[in-house]
Amino acid sequence: MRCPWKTCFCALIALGSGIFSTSAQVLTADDLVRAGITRLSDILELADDWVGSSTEGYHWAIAPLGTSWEASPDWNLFIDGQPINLQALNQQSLNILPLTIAEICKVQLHAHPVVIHGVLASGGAIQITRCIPRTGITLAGQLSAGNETGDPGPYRYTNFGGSNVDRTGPTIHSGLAIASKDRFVQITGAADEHHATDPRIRPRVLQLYQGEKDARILHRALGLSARLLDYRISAGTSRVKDLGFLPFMGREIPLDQEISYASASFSRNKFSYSLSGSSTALSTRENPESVSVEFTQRQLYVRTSLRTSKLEYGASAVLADARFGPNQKRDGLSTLRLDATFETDHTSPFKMKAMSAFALDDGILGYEWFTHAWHEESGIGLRLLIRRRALASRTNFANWITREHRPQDADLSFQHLDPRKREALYSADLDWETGNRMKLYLSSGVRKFKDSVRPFTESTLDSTRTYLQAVTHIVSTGGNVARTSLRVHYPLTRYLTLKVYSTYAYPWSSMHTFRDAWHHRLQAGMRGEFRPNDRFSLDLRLRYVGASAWHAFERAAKENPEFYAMRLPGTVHLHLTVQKRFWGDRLRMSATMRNVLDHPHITHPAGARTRALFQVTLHYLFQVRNTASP
Amino acid sequence: MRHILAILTLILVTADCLAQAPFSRLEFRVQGTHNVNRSLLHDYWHPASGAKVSVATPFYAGDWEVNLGIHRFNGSANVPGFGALWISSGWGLKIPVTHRMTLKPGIGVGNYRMSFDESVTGYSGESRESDFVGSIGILASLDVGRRWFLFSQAEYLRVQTQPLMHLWFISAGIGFQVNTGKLLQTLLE
Repeated sequence: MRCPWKTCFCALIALGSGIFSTSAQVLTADDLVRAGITRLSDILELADDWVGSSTEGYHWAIAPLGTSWEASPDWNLFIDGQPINLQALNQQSLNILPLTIAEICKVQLHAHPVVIHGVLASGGAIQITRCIPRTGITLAGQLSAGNETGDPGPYRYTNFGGSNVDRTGPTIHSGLAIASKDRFVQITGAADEHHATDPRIRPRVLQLYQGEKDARILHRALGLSARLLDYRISAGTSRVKDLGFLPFMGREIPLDQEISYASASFSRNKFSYSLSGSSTALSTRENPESVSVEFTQRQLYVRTSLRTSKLEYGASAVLADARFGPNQKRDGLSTLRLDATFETDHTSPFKMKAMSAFALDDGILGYEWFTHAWHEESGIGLRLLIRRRALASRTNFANWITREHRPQDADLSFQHLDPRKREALYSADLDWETGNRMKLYLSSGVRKFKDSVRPFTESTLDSTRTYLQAVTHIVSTGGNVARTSLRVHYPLTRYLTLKVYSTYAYPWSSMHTFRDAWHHRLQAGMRGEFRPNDRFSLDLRLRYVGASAWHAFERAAKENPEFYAMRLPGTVHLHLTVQKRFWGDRLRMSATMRNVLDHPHITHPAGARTRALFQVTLHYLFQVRNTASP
Repeated sequence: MRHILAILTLILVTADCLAQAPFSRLEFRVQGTHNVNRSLLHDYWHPASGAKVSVATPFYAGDWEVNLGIHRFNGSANVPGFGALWISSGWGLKIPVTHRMTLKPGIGVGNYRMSFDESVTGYSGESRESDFVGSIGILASLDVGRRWFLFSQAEYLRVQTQPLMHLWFISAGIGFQVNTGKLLQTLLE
């Protein structure tokens, strides 16, 4: 008797003569174009095992499912190989980065612990690599605009119509690049606009502005990328104006955020140096309710390393300072880290990368040990991680709050925490990658957090439906998360490829502060790509995001069933993008329909609903004196 | 929306089987349209006749078309009338019935722009509003010459307002088709 699943499984093993990618999910520039990505946060739509939540559909708090802590994500951001910390009060939104979609060559999404240029990203990482422009002069521009459904239309003249839901965008990206064979300069600019007019958040925002104005999020950014005299230089600044949701306050506040970063790296013979600095500042605009949050964080990162054939020795230092409140009360911290990485040579099918590091985090000794071993022929890999470092190693919200700093007007409380106590993370993951034509990636892992200092927010719905009544406790907690994920790429025909993925995470702990933190449980989806040639593509994405546990949901839903008409996320998305190119790469048009089937999607208890969005993008590229090769 | 999903899945799965020479000819259509159904919208607005022009061309599978439609709704006592401009992109599949007759079921998505006779002084204060529109319909055509054909169409429009606008249109018109020139075909490809 035929057993289809068994036959399929055996076929997969038979096909397993090599690996098809690293275990990181890699999105190329072409992937982003074909999927109609117009904002950086849209990358989340393509991420198989990353999840996110948003209140207004613009700033997304994202985390790898089951790897990082969603209420206080630990993932690291790398731009052109340099670590950039743009976290501010526990938030790191991709959309505020001074990058344009058109300049991105590759995005690597690591949902596992990973070592990148000697830095251990224990909670996963997003690695963005920008393209090196083609020689000559290149001028590029992109315009996107969209319209969300749910407007009252003609019904606004009747008793049936609700309030207006405004458009999304316009999102404008532009870039100018001048490049020769071994050097280049690229300048980019971005402007974006997002209207926070969803009926669920509108009353809150209107109350804040007392009806004086419409709530918009305005983003402006300027970026620079260059290679001059063997230095790779990267810099950018961006400003987001007018509105931000702060989870620990449970509401939007009229907030301006300004971020800047600059990095330079140099490598010659066996030595390499890198230097990066970043700054993020939050300030409150004048508002009728006198809500106020003032915060500035600056960070300097320096690293030098020496590489031999199999070993790399590195030394790095982080200096950070933060200023709180209108009086700019100041505090600083420093970290010194010494690491050694061993890597096997490339001739053997068995490969291993092992890193050990010692660190002094504000004078507290800590250590990290990470090993990734894999066998190329069988495609089996193992990752092990032990990390015990003081809270000061993470320049984040919890760290500053435990030092008795606080932004104004936030209801924060914290246990008496021993600052010398080290947080511990133990992690093990087993991967299997196989297949040539049909490709399979299977991964399972478990993580144990111990003495982990986190913000734990208790929220109840305000009876006037204006905002969450949030109390944030800074707690030391612990627990475990098990996760498993599957990814299959199957080319059905020459033109049509089907991609299926699924990730499941299960948190457990004896401590309610761990159990009750917001964890997504399940994400599953499929992606179909129809590409008859390189000028036309049709991309269909279907995704189910499983119910997450928001600990106060059940009570809130009971008190206000109309407002909480459905469980958190637990819904199906359907996204469809049609993309067409004209005159080679010169003109590109794409249309994307983002739709949520059956139920509106609420990704955050205090968030807006997403129904459907229709977006059109026009990209124009003009090149002078270009040669084909970069 | 489940139906649209099913259709799209069917398109993806059958796309290879339906492969043909894309952009090999162009089909132009002009038609008069009339809204025939009654819904919540019609308690306040009365439909007047409208018109629609379309250009269709063979795609990698089926036909791809671009449509531009206008129609008007006259307001009753308390509401202003509005004119609607509907721009959409659609896909259809030709099914020959007889030697001269063809049926073409299709779907489309686009923008439904309403211009109201008078602006409101409310929050947005705008006299125009755009909303997403999805459509599904069937077109029956009868060849009356080498290039010319007569056709009639039944089409359902769902405008994604809150509450939803459900509009059924019956229309009839005339169309002709020409072979696409090499230059235009290269450009479209």
